[in-house]
Amino acid sequence: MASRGGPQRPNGASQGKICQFKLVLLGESAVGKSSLVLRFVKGQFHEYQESTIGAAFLTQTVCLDDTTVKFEIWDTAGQERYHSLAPMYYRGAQAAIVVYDITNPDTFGRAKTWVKELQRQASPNIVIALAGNKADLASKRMVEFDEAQAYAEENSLLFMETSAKTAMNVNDIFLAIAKKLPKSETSGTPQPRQGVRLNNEQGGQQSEGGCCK
Amino acid sequence: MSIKAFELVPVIERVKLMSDKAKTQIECLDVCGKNMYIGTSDCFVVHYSIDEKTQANGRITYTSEKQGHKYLVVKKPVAQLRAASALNRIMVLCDNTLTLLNMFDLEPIVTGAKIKGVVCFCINDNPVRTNPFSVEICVALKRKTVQLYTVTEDRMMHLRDVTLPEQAVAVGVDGVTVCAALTSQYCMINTDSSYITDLFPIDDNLKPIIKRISKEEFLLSGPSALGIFATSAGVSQRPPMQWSDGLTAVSFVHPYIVALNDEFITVHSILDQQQKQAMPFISGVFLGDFDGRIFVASGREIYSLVPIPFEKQIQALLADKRVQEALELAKNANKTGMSREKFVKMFKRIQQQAAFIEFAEKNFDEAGQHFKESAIDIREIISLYPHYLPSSVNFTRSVPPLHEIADINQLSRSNEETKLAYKVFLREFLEDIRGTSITHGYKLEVDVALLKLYAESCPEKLPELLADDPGCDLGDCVNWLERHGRLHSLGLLYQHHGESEKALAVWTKLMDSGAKDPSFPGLDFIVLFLASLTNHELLWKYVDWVLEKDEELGVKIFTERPANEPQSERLRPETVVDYLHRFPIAVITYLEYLIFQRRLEKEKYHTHLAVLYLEAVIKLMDTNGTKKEDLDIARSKLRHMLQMSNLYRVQLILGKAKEKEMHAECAILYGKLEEHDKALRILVHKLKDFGAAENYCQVNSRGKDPAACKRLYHILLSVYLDPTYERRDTLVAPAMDLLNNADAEFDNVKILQLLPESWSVGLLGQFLTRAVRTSMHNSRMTRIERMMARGENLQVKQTFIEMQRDAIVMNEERVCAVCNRAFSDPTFVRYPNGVVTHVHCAKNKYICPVTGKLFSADKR
Repeated sequence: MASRGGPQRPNGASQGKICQFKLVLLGESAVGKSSLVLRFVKGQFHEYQESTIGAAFLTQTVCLDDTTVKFEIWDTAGQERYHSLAPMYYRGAQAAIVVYDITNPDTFGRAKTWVKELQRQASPNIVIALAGNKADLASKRMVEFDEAQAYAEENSLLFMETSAKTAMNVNDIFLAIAKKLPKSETSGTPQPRQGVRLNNEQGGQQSEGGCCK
Repeated sequence: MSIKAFELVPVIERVKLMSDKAKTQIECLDVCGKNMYIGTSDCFVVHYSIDEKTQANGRITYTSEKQGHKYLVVKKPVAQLRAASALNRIMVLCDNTLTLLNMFDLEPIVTGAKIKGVVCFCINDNPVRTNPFSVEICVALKRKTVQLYTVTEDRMMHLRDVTLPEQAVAVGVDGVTVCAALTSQYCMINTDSSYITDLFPIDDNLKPIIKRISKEEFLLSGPSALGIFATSAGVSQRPPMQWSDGLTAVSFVHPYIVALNDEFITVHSILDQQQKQAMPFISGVFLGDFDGRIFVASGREIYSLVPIPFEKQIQALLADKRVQEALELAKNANKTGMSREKFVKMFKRIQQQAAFIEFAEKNFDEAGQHFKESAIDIREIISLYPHYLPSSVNFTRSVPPLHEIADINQLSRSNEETKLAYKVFLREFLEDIRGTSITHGYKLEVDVALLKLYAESCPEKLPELLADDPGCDLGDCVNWLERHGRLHSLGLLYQHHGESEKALAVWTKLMDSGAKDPSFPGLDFIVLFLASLTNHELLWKYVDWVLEKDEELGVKIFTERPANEPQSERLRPETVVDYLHRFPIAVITYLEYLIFQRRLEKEKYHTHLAVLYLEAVIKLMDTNGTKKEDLDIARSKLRHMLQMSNLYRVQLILGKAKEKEMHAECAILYGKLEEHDKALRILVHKLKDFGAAENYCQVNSRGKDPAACKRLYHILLSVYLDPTYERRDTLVAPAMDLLNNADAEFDNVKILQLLPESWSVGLLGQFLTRAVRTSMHNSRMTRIERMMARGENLQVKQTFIEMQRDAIVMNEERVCAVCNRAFSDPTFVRYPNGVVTHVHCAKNKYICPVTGKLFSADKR
């Protein structure tokens, strides 16, 4: 399923660059990972989102200037019993969103552990974003914005408070990640690269390749 | 979510084992072509031959026959058994020892090739080496090691070891990668580098299962009964599957994953990871896929899981209206070895069926998309709408039918609103596909259907459709349009088919009856149509009708004809003018068109128009109470005509104009006759319009030489100063104005002679100053010009000399052109034509002594 269909022409001449990125969502159970994805991919929100079993996979394409960025989103299950599976999904990911619930300080602690794990075990240049979800429930806030912001800066993470319910910052956080991801031809997922090796022998230094610059 | 993907078919109902001891059980089996090998719990290997037969009704049955058996003496169950047909061997794992048996007589191989201490083994289906007469296997040992071997007919060659942190209990292998289940976790082992990637931990109560799915991809049993995919790189590229608890074995035949537990066989699709089928199967002990065939065994029976053909599965899904799943399955059917062509055909048909299901469900977006993608025969859709196919088209729906829909009346159960929705769908769909390749060859059907739909509900779109080369035939469209009162469009349709007469009949009827058709633009439209009509006979039939309705509009039939229309006898200007006699406004417009636009230079038309203008003016003058503006407009029109044209008969007009004392017109006419004196006299004496008089001079001197121009102004001045005119005092001021006018040009000498002696210098001061200054100015300008011309001449001369200048080499060989002797002194003569002589030989410096050419001695 993952590899089928879609705009995978490696260098569609007419439409600029197409980059494909693997992105994984991590975080404690019930912080709203699936809701964030559902909001981003389908623009929907379910008040009673079923808990994810194992992991789910979705794709969404966004346009950034002249680049088309295709996200392959792995939405992992937050429940503890699935924790051990997470490496299977974040391995090889170029981006991760670690989600916590601003009304629950425990989830923020858990998010910090996830960040640590990613820094230790995931790809060395993975882009990590921290999302404080459920920002619509500000009245029950237990994690201060400044605190999370400070933590994010300390660890050079992207940080936003989001709300899958109101759609606040949802697209923004994905776009911010897309902007931060390296878009040179040498990065991106390894699989769709095979067709464009024309001048890769000169090393990874791409002269901002292509005719449509 | 269920679908019937497989069917259980018994293969061996009761294995005839050596002894009928109740304890004897099947442990494992392998199938290789027609050979089936069974390993039992009491250490027997049994060989059967099985035969698959397809019955007339499509059902598959098996017959089996026992070929032989072998007792392995050790009294332990046969744990694993795999046939290697390339080697004619079977590999048997029993009592932790891996040995080889002959495939046919089941005798052990005498070389005694064996591996001891084996927990389990598996064959590498993606071997690194390519010797066809060897098999690569991976063996998990009791002592925390996995080993790779190459197995040949009689030997097992050890390739390499990888040491593990724990003992492996299950292994899978692909290329250089071994996937192993250790006692506490799964891991991926690169046997080249011995690098181990940890995957995830194994719970205590979980039976580890490793199933190779495809190149570099394995399926593992994970926590909470999940099926987890993992690539050789340790990455999961598909979402996990939810299995039931207590799985014992897993098999894969694209696109289905079959899993066995104590009570059920479950089938999941690898495409959406959802469960598709569950079959009760009690006490299953073994499940395996062998070259795409799946066999499952309980303690004593063996069954085959026969796949239901894709078409049947898809049809079942379609019957359940599960369109998405059916299409998903169909898309993947081409992986089952169908030829590309056959697949495309099959897929299109399924897509069309799917489209009609969506159509019946009123999911119009999906239906439209499927219709388009499957390049549906558009008539299939239109035929669902009663009366919308052209009557001339004979269409029968495809057999076997794509759907069970009778027509939209049935679908909508005569609910008008629903019916309307269906019609809107058809309209939008046809608009969308019109002109694309789907409609190729069916333009008639598409356009007729559109026409009918528009006529019914969207009349404003009809003219656009009809303007765009519609494929509609006349057939029942005529009736349809009449029935819905779209008469204007009917006319357009006739026009498109070249039936101008019928079209005109419809439109005139529409005009005369006053029937309401909001799309009909009215008489203008008919006039425009007639103006471009090539059939002139027909045109004349309607001209009367139109002109009687509106002269001004009607004359456009003649004046707005296409520019490239060939001349025709019926439309000769004479004929038309003659005809238009009855219609005074029309005839004027037509003549104006002939003269001003076509620029016809025929005296007849010019005179005619001038006379008509004149008559109009006279008529206005004669009627009392005419508004002054109307008269002025009429007269200025006349004057413009008289001034502009040179072709009319001046005398004729002049006579009438004089009669009516139309002085301004007379002046123009005199001008035409070059009788400027008379003209100017009228302007000055009769009209006292001095501005007009000066203007007259200007107009009539345009494009003539300055002398003629001066003469005109001179005439005007003489008129002003005419001593015979009794009220000449009044003309002194205009005369002075004229003299002082910067535009007017005079021969100053003549003027001085003409001026009356009595006029004071003071009066003439301005004129005189100007005259003197002009004269001075002219004289100076002429001088400057002369001097500049001289300078220029000098420059040209200099250039000329420079161009002629040339170096001359003097040496001994150079001789005088006259005396042919050498030069002794440094002086010599060169003529402009290059002839060189002694000084004394040059008798005349203006005449070349050799050629006799004369050089100009001209000195200014």
